[in-house]
Amino acid sequence: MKITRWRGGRFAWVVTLCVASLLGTVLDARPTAAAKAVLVEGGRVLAKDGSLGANPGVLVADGKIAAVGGVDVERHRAAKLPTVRLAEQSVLSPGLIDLFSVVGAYGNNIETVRAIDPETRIVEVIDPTHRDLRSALEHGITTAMVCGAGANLIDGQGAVFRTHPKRHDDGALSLDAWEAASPLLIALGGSALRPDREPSSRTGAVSLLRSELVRAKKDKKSRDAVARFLRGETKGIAYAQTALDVQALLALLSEVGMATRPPVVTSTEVPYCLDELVAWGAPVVVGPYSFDSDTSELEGAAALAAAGVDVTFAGGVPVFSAKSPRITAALAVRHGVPANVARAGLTSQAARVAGIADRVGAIEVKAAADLVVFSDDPLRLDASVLRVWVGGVEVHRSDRSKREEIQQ
Amino acid sequence: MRRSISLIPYLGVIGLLGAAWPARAEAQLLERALVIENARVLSFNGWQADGVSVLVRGGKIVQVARKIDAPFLSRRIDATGMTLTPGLIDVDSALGMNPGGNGSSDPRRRAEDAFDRFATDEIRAALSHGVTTVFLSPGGTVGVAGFGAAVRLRKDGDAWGEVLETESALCADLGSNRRPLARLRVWHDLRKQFQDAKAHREALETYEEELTDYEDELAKYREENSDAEAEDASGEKSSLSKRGREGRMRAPTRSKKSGAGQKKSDKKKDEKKPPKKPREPRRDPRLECYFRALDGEIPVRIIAHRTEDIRNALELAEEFRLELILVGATEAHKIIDEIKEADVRVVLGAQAPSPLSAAGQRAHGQQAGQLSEAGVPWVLGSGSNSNSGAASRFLLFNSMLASASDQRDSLSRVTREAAQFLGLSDRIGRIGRGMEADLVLWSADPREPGARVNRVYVAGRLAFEAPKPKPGTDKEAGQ
Repeated sequence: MKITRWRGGRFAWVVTLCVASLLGTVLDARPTAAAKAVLVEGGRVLAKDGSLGANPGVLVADGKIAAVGGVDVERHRAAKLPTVRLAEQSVLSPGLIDLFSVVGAYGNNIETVRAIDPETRIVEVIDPTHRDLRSALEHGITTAMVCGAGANLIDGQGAVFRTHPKRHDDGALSLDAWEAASPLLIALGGSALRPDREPSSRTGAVSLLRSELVRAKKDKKSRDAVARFLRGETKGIAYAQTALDVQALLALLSEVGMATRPPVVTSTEVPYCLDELVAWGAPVVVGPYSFDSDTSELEGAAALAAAGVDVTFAGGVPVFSAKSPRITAALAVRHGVPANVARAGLTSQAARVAGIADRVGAIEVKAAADLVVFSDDPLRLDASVLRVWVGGVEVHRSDRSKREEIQQ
Repeated sequence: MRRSISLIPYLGVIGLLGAAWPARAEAQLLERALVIENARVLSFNGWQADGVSVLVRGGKIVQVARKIDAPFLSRRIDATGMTLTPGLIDVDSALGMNPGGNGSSDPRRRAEDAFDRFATDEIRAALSHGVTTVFLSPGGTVGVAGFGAAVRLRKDGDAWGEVLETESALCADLGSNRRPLARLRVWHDLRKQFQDAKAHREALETYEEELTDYEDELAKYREENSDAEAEDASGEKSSLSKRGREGRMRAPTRSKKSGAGQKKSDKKKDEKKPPKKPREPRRDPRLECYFRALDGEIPVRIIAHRTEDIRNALELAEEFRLELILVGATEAHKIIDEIKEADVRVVLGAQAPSPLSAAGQRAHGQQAGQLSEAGVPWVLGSGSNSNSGAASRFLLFNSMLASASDQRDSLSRVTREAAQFLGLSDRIGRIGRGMEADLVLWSADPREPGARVNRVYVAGRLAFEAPKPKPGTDKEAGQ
């Protein structure tokens, strides 16, 4: 009896321990999951349409935006769970997107052996630990699209990736790229003409490009990149600088026909090919603008916006400074682009051009929590980046932001 | 018939009077006063006031008040909802200067002479973004480039530009983007020029002293000689003092001649020889350009980006006691303590160099913040090294970029502080009584993204007026 009781007591002791640990886990589970969620409140929020409004509270959990205002935010607030409070003037913005960037690939994105070179993949040459990526990130650019430099007529597949690398369990870093969004670059311009291979003249260039597109169009079963692009299975992007080249390229693409019209990257002579760009109907990427740019170029964005074309911006980081996308947008606004259009051009519209609008570029539920806090409107060049989150993880915090918190 | 003929001489006299009347005097007499009413005024350190009116007369601000009784026949501008600021000042611009050029180093060149007063498009573009005064550097070469000038964008007939100061600073470039050996040569040449100038200056000063001694001795010598000769000598001395420097150069030659004539008679009376005239050093106009800088009358601006070049510039300033202004100073943050100790001022250029250039790769990109933290006085220009004057347009944007790192008022930096930097703070850079009426009316706070320049006045005259915006666009842009 004694022995049994003693045995029973020991058993009960073990059971109690097990139950307690289980209970602990269960009780612990809710606070742990909730502790991961962070509420960002105060300041202003950059909406999908580019307007600035009061911040209703943005709840970030599991690397995504869990709620924007609403019951969940109220509950989080009431429970006094982790919260980041922004200053009144601050703006919570989706991470900026540098379209037609060279970040992490400078000098490695120019391949000139074959004028028709659809299978080159830029994503393979980008160093995820390159310091230019870090610099871009600290200036609020969380996503970049890098393409070839237009040195070929079909200039390979560009890369769309986050400027913050992905960290694996073993500590290794890799590029966090959206491979499905890689656009095929179709270019026409002087830089594709070379003395050591075809084409060596503009006539040759148009002819070569036409025959390649027609070939790919005819071959309905082909799995090559050009054919897949024409069938709408992959994304594309058209690049030309002079008005003449824009006109010729768009005419050629219209002639061949394709499932989805690709966005156009062009800047210097926009006012001279405005009608063609409007008729094309796809977004246009302008820039990078600099303080030396001609006024006619700077007015291009406003002309497009006034004609109802979606305008987005190329930053050209690191050939231009990491602030270049914002400088380009600010210059566009000073020359007549409505501020909301310009802010959307840096974020939601840019995500659309990069083909990742369902994941980044806007502060809405289920979008990735790639967020940036600016000290003021990002179009004001005296605003600085205070904090950057990528996938809900804080990856940069400026000294100013730290100082301000200590003072509080 | 007779009567009409008799009127002709009168008409002729009136016509002649009209032609001879100085245009500016007429303009000032006939110019109507200007009243800008009910504007929001932005001044330094974020201070602002609403409902301010400004009275301008004769090109100057006469009154700044809440309520001004507009004088008879004055032009009244209703600036309700608009923001009024002083004209922006670009302390390092290439506006109206022909880009390029690779001339040899020569201090005699003056930026004023290279300024294209008819570069209307470029100048109007700068005005359309609120810039009314620029400092122009001669540029176009490494080594000593010449004298920089401060120019106000005032229109005079078809030409633009009123030179406020012809020799505002002596400008030099240490060629930071050249190879090390070339940079060493530039630095060596620059230092030698200053050394030679100093030696030349000393030689001239010694000559002056010797000449005074010589004149005294000559006078004494002549007094000691015969009465007739002494009279001659005194006559000559009085003419000497009248003729000044050049006269003095010739006078001893004459006296030498007369002295030679005297010799024979002197020999008879006395064996004492006349004093020997000192030899004047050959004048060198090139080296004389450095004198004002050596005297500290004008500053020396040296473009230096790399650490080594900045150090060389500091060394030069110390050796010759120059008032140094460092221009560019990309790598200033690396030797910030040395710069602070040297007590120099800094002009930061336009955008930092491309991160791909050698200097850019080492650049910190935060010079502004670091210089402010160390207490080194600095201002910001659009960059005389840029390809054209086009960058002057975005002076305020440039200043705002710098403000992101040091949080000082971007507007004050390109108005009040820039005027102080150029030594012109009693004339421009502020909205106050007695200041020049260089004013800009903006559609909103100029630092807001959608703000536009509506009107620009230089010396109280309308220098730029924005074309009327298309309906709807302005409102949207201001959001």
